[in-house]
Amino acid sequence: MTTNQHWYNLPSDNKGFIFTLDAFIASLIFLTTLLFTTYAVSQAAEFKTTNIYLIATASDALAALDNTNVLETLNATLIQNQTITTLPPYYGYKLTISRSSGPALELGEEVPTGTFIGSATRYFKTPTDYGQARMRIWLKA
Amino acid sequence: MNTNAQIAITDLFFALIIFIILMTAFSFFWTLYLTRFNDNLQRQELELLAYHISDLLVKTPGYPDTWEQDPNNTRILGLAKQDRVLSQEKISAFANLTYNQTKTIFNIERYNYYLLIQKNGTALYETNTLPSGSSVSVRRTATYDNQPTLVQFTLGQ
Repeated sequence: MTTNQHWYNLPSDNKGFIFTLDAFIASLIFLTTLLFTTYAVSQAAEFKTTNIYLIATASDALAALDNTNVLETLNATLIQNQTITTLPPYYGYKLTISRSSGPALELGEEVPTGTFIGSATRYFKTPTDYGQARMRIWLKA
Repeated sequence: MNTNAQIAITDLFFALIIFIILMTAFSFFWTLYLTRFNDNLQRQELELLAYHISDLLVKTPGYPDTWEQDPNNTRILGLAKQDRVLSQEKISAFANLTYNQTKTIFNIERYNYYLLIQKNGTALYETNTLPSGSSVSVRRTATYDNQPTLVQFTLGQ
């Protein structure tokens, strides 16, 4: 009986448990934050490198079209054939060519949403006027 | 009989167990993420180096501009006579340099690289060495003889 009385009557007996629970919750919050931030940082870093490659690939494809004089022909079949052979198969693309005079040309697929789009623009000269080509590429799912 | 000491020990025991579990978990995740972070860092360094070298190769003539006339005094290697148009003379001069010479000029002595220049499926130039272990590969497109040409640069251990 004396023991039980002591157990129930002690005012500060279970304070230790409260502190342990407090430490447990604090550690849990700390660990969750640590895990989340590490994951977010690794994801963000990966994202940036892919972006650089996509932009460089779009720019390279446009430069190849221009340097081989295919772009200035404004021939949809020629441009499409060379673009397909230049770009890796896992990339989707949309090429928009507009001219200072004359109709615009659109080649490729519809631009998807929810994914990063690498974009490059190149100005070129045709025999009669000048034009602007814009290449947008993305990684296919 | 006073049982205060026993309660304190039980409390300490639970606290210790929780502390040890948390410390073990923390240590495990810390090591795991540190390893991943280091791997990521190394991979990013490789990716940036590979991208930077491939950019120099396809976009610049190198330094001096006419390094192919005196390859032993080359400071920067570039294979282009103009932006993304490759020069036959520069590719030939590059092929005449030794693998270690090119690594020194690229400033990548601690890595190995593989370079392939391919036009219409035919290799114009290809190194004999292929990096082993983790490596990154960058594909660039340039023009050679008025034809689209693939420049693939792989960098690794």
